[in-house]
Amino acid sequence: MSGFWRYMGRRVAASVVTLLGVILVLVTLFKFVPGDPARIIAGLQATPEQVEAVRKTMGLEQPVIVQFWQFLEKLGHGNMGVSARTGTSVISEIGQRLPYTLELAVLGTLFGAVAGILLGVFAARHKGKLIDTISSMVGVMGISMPVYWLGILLIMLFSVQLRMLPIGGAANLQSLVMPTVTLGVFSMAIVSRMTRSTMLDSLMQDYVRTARAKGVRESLVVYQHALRNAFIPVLTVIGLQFGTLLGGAVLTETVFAWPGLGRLLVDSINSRDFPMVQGIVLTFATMFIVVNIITDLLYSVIDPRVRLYD
Amino acid sequence: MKKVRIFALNKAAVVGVVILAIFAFVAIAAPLLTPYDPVAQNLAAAFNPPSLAHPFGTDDLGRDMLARIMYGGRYTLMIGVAAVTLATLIGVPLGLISGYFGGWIDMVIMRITDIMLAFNPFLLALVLVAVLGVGLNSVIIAAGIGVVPQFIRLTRGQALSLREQIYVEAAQAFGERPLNIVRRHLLRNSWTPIIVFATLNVGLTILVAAGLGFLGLGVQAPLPEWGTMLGEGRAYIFYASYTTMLPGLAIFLGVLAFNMAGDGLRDALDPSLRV
Repeated sequence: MSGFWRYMGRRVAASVVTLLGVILVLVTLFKFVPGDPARIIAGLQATPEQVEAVRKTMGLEQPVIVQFWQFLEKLGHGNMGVSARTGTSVISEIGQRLPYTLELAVLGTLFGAVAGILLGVFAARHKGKLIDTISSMVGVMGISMPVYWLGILLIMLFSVQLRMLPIGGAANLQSLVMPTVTLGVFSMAIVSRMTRSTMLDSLMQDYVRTARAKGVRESLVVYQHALRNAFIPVLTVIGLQFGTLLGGAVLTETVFAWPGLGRLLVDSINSRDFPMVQGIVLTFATMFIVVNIITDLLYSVIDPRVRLYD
Repeated sequence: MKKVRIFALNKAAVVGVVILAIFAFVAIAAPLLTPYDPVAQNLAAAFNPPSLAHPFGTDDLGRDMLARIMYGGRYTLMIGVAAVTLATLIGVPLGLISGYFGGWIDMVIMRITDIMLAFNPFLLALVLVAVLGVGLNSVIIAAGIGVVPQFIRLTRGQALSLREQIYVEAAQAFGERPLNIVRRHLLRNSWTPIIVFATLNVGLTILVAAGLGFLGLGVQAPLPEWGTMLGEGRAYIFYASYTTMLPGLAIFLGVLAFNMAGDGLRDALDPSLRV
């Protein structure tokens, strides 16, 4: 077990370094924002003295490295500053919106993974047949589809024409259907392409032939023996494209008026609310890193031969 | 020649190239193909449904949708190509140097790459636009820098395997300068995967750039960038749905064409890149 903790320690340390880098980038970038952030935060009616006071309290006149340190110090106290737009605490606002984005991201990933694996397995089992062609067309179309357009198409069909699903918001379970599908289609496409090619490898292995020779049921051969061994690269793809999924969430939330972090990010950029932008981007980066640590850990659960540490 | 045959036999790849050729021709020849100005307003003709005079209808300001889509290719497709060119120019040297030199240079470059990956292409572009401001140049820079880490990773891997080659060892033995080795041996032998990868990434950068436009943070109205048009048309989906259908379809087909052509190039030139 000690090897495990040593491995985890290294992973977490590397992640912390990456996140420190993300913070440094955010602090540095906002030094170069056009216009005077202090004036934006103080508001249009503020007197020059008030603007000056804001500049002082926020440490905006300090060099980057000092601001970086101040940001970390505040973060250590669970504080990411206050929103320039509403004056509320950035961290509590993010806390309110985060569950919505998490819900959407988890459901979108699940939809993409399940649909993508089924599609990929199906294609691999019927290689060269019509089903395989259709599935690879769905795959390339899925990675080419602008999520915002797909969302609007779904709204036109299911809300405007058929009146089956709500056009937006997060009022009930039905309002989850279209955002989940919209967000998950890109993952579905990537996962199905990956699953198909690893399954094709896996189906040609000796243990699959042995299992068939023993008379194991074909569905068991495919889903137990072959898929299990084809799963590691698929899992890697799911983890790596989680970042893309979060980017897609920004657009999906905007299309469906979903009250999550992505929409808050767009609103904050539009109103030049940089403390909020910093907080949200940092949250997204943390989510991405955590998900990739989790997928790493899942490798060894799925395939005991994978040893993450010595 | 064999490679050309493999590519030509790939139906999807050929379809992709044909679509791209048509889009490029239409974008370049737009002034000859349509009598309408893509930005001139004519409020009297607002929201005309598709007709003979306006095959794709007119938008909220009475502008001919077909003309706007045709001219729009100049922005959307060009942004994709320009952004990927930028990403290649930045990412390829960094990746090759990182892989060839190793040591602390590699560590620093890889750390920076990890940081950029933690942002993901779209978020990184979004943050950059927040800093650079909106507009054509910002979008190209933002979408391009968004995919730089992918290019660094690809070419670092190339360098790691190429530096073990006998001709690289020979060059080292002859005392050739390291940067010359990177340029003359590593770069020259990495062109194939770089071109394949670049083609496959044009689609992604188009999606990113058009996504910025959709949010109102990309190329600004009245320029007919497809994503920007889609964002504007969204307000009218109840009574003029064609104002969102067509720009979206154009983005989709453009990205699809690049991806199909890229898949074909990959299968013909360097199947090892297949995921």
